[in-house]
Amino acid sequence: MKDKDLDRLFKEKLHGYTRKAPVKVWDRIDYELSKSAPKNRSRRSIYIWIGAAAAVILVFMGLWRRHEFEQETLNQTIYVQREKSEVRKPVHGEQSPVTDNVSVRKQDLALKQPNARRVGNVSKEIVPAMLSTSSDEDTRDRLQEVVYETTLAEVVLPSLVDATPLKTLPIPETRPIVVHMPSINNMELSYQMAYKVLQKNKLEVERLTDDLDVSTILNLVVKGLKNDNVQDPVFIEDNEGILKVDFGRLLSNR
Amino acid sequence: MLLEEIIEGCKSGNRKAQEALYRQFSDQLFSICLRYASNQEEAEDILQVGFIRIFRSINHYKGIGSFEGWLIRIMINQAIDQYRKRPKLARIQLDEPEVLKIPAPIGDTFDAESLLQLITRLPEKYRMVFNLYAIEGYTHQEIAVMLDISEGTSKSQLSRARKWLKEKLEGVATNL
Repeated sequence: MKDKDLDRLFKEKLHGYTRKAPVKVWDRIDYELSKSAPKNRSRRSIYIWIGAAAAVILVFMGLWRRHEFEQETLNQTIYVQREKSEVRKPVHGEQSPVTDNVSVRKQDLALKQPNARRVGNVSKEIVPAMLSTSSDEDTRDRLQEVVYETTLAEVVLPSLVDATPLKTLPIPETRPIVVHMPSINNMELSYQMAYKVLQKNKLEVERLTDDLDVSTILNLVVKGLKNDNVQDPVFIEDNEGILKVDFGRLLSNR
Repeated sequence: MLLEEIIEGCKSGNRKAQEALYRQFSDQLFSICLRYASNQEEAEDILQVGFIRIFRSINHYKGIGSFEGWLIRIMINQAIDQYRKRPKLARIQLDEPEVLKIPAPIGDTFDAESLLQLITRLPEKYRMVFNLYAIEGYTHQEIAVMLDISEGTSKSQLSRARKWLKEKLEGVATNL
């Protein structure tokens, strides 16, 4: 038999040949298909649920972050307003004399506590905050951004700068920063690191009633910051004429 | 159900359509699987996995060319894949002539079942090349690519397959 004849024999006989396929093969195929089909469906539904859950989490995180941002911002801005018309030198023994009539307006719910009261002509009001940070890196970035503002403040307000050496304040990250200065008498300061504040600290500053100027106030803030407490301070004058600045009470009263 | 409807149903994963497709083509495809397999169980495995492969890739069938030809190609590819995956055990070739229970030829020829039995008894690598070349009509170049062998190997294995088959067929004829 020649090769071609052999090939033709097999091709002709087997090309169209059929053998009954066992039924059990379909049963196995059916099983395999049913095994994979619901799996795909459930996997798809799992993806949908994961996606939905992620979206909900993101929304909540966004809302929470916004809430935190507002809280931080609320605690981080001080308005220092100089009212030169009321400036006068203190006289020894005089009740609450100040070099400048300094109005420190603070927006803090704690300031509404009964023990937060006016001391001399230092008043505290509520103002919205302007700056907040969320991390050390963010703090550094923001500090870089406000260098120009600080420099501007030094030029425009030499007397303030003289009284308050902003550059030499103890901790750079906690240095009050001029973030906004709509007029020469209205400067918006901001300080950082509010998110790190967990400890309550009490700070006493003696004989401040004689030197209660912008410099003193800023230094008080800085001292508070050094103690990792950036809550707005409450200035309280005791019977002996000592001004106490309490950072911890604010927190404890919250 | 028309073939077009069956195909569309299979594309959307309809189980009834899949079963209809199986019913319509399984016998033909099973016979092909038998030619490439060493035994019935192996052929059933090829058929099963091949059909699942068909159902999963049916969306790739664009209606160009014969659907039947497309099915056969997938099934042959599946047979080749399983041949490649199969552990290549050293086969001991017995010189002792095997007793083939091949029905006597009717008139001067053999029936399909007898020839299928012969192919099944072919050594595996001969069987693959003989099927692809003699029955499917592939060239040695194509077979070399499909089986990952050289063209020379394909030719020599075809030659040995033919020799083996001729001996068996002639042996059956002379024993009559």
